[in-house]
Amino acid sequence: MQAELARRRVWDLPTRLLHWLLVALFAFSWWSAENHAMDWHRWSGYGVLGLLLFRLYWGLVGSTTARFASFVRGPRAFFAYARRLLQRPGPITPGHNPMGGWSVLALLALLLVQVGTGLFATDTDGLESGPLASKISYSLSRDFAEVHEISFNLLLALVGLHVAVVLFYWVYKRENLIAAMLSGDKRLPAAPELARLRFEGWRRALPGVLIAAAIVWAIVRS
Amino acid sequence: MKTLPAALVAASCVLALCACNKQPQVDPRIKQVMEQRHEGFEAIGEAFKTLNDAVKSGAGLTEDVKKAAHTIHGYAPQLADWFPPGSGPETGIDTKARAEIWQQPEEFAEKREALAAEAARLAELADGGDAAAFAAQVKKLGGRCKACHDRFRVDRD
Repeated sequence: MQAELARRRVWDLPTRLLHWLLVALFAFSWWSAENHAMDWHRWSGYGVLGLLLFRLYWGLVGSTTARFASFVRGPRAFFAYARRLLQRPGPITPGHNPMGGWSVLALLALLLVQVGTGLFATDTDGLESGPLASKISYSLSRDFAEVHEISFNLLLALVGLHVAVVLFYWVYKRENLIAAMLSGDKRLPAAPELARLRFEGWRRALPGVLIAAAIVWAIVRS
Repeated sequence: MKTLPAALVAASCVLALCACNKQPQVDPRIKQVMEQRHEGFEAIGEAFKTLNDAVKSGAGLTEDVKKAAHTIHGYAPQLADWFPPGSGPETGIDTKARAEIWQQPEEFAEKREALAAEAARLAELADGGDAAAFAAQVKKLGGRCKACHDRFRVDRD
């Protein structure tokens, strides 16, 4: 049985790049806000917004494992997977597992709330604001800032859960998800699902990059 | 016999907690000043956003901008009355004012007066016709706000 294990492609390059760029910009956004480097904080936020917009595009037309339609599963699949969570080795899932898919959705949604509120937020002094704060009143803008802060705390909790689960897979299930997200490959036995995976290249990614960049550019200069 | 001291410690801890949970006993006049202070700073923040928005969009010296500049000019001298002794964190009331305000009164007064002077200049420029000079003054005033906040305001939001 062991002989059948082989390195097989699971994550495409755009998805991996996006994941690690999000990690870096999330950390940088946090750092820059704590240190009141608000110019950097705004640029970092624009970067996150661009990445998220691209991710939405890629979730619709990207590689199979990146598509929402392939990894957002119903409650039946979710609970079936949850019941076998402690099983070693667990069921093989070439992309996001039925629980992880919801974690991805929640993280993306919260990150969208985070950058979305940041665009309209202002500080208590009316000194530093997001690029769209000038369109709304001070008090509404302060409400956005409050949600910006709450959603950040929720994000920290969710990121913590994400990392904890990844470590659980590594230590308990002996499945290194970090290496897979770096290299794009997992050691898996041959399975019919794997043969059905389609991987899209840069030709497919390019329009998404351009659309995301254009939207961010329009917001920044408005 | 060992349980008695333990019980005493536990009881005093409970009492101490009760004391902390009690509503702070603050002179109503002090409380009123603190509320006035909070509202005043919010009004300044709101006016300052109007100015920064206008500078950013290049709107020039509109009526709203003039009004906001005069709002800040009206509030800036009031800061002298907003920090009476005993209106700091020791009240137990939620405030971002740091105890340093009362520990370094000279430095605080100096920064406060610098703000009032820059705010007066701002109102003057708002009534003049030089939008570029006004924009530069908005930036300068923002620097005054920040310098004092970095020193005398608790850094949490």
